[in-house]
Amino acid sequence: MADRAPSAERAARDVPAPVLGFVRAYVRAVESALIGGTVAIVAISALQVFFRYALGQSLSWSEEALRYLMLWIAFLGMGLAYSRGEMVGMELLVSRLPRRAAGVVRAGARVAVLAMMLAIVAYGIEFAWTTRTTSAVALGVSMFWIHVSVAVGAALVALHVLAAGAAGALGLRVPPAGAPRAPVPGAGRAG
Amino acid sequence: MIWLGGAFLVALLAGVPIAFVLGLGAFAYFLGTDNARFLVSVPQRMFAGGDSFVLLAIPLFVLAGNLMDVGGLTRRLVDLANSIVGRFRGGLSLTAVWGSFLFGGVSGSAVADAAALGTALAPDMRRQGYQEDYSAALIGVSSIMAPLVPPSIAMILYGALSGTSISRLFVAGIVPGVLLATALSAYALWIAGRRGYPKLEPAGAGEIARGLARSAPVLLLPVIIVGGIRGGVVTPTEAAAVAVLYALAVAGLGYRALDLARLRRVFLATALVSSAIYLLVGFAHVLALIFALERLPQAVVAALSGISENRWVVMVLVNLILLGLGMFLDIVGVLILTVPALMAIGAELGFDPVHLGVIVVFNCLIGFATPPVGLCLYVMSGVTRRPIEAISLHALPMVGIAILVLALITAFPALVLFLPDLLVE
Repeated sequence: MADRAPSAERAARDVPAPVLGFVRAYVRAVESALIGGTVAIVAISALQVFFRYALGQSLSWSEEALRYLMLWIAFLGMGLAYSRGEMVGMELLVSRLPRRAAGVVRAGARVAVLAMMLAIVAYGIEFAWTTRTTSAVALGVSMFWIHVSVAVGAALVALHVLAAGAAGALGLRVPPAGAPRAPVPGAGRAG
Repeated sequence: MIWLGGAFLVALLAGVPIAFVLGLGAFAYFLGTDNARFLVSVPQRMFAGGDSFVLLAIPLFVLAGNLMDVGGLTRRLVDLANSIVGRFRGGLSLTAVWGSFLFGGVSGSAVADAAALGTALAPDMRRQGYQEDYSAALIGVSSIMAPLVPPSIAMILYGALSGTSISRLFVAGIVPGVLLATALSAYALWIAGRRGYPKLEPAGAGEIARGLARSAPVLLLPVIIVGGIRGGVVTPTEAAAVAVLYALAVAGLGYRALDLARLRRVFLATALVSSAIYLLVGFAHVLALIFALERLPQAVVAALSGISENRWVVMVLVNLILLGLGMFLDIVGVLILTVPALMAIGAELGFDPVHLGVIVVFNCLIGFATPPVGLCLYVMSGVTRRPIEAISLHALPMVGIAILVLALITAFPALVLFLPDLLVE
């Protein structure tokens, strides 16, 4: 998006241009998919309500399509959500540690999360593969294409954790390439 | 369970986001207890956790709230509250309380409530001579009402995790919300009287009517939602879809506040927030498997009933545990960890699941206004640039009031249940 802070623009020089170009393209692609998917969620659920209550006949496919579409959106967006601080941790203790110690703790935490995510990628591919011969009841597509979302999501989170770790270790600042904030800060937090 | 608990604690203290804390706890359990064969089922459980039509209500309600906010709803609600309660001593502080209540009817999120009202009200209150830490504390504590007023993300999650009717949960939160708002108003009036805080110019009937008319589209949203799912006419998810269409119409056609850039931003923010919630729910479903393997709910019930046979003593203990958890964990984390055990306790001691749902949500909400991780107070500290310690100190009596209201709704289930009994079949 157009409105980037000038300071972010300056920091951008720290990241090699080809890498930055790739990151920008990836972020744009994921953002577009998330926005398009959410629009589709609204459209399909509106259609479902319209058919059931205005026309009196329920759509056979809408509920299934909505559930699977939302899961794809959720898994696709997890990496970006992680990088944009949608997932909060309890920083209380770490923020009081000396700089070096805090760095070590953060690195250790990233390695643990990374290992877990890679395991989920491996098991997730296995999970999707074993269900490839069954197909979704109403949509008719192979469940592989639906279940593989878990592995994709875990891979993206792993990528973002790795990127955050690398950026931290090399002292790079990756410029934000979009508008990460909700219109109201924390607008969607469960509480 | 030592593996789970140990990994959980270490990861939590290391500042790992709570979703990954749940996941790491589960992985440590499977690896440490010779249950590695269950690791294969982790992706399947993560998928199944989010594969729910009811959960879809969360992104849709978040979207509706975000859309409404683009339409400048905070100012409208503040003006309306001012015209009604501004005439009393400490008028603006009463607006903080009841504005929060009204805002909850759109957003269902306490943090959003604190951020919006803090930005809109705190500068006005300072100009009128209110002690700054006091007004920050009042707005912060008032904002915890938002998830009690329908629609509420926390209630949807509780309903989805426990299999309880979401329409009943929505309606059940209203009376506790009104009680809390009334109690906080009484406190604000008392403080205003002692410190001589100003009244606002009394508004005439015409002004109130104009304020109502300007906010009517916003105030109608919770009415449409509750009306729609009342008696099961539409499912909560379908009501949420209608709410989105309605919010699109109000913000786009009514308030003419939507352009393509804003729409993109709102839809993207909604998707990212939903991603984070779905990840939590996914790992929660993995944990549920462990709780079942370990028969944890039964163990908790046995431990609690070992302490006392009296159901009210047990209930006090449950509240204390929930309060403690709520002080340290996010509301979703508390729900995920406690709902299985709560359902078992409720069944054993004869507590209604709807009553329990309101109690657990209320406990978590108090945690939003207490140190060390009272998110709403942190938001207010950010908005007003006042130290968190001073705000927390001023919040203490109000937290005490909230705990009194909690005790009241725990002891008298009818306060929570009569409205859903009346309105929802």
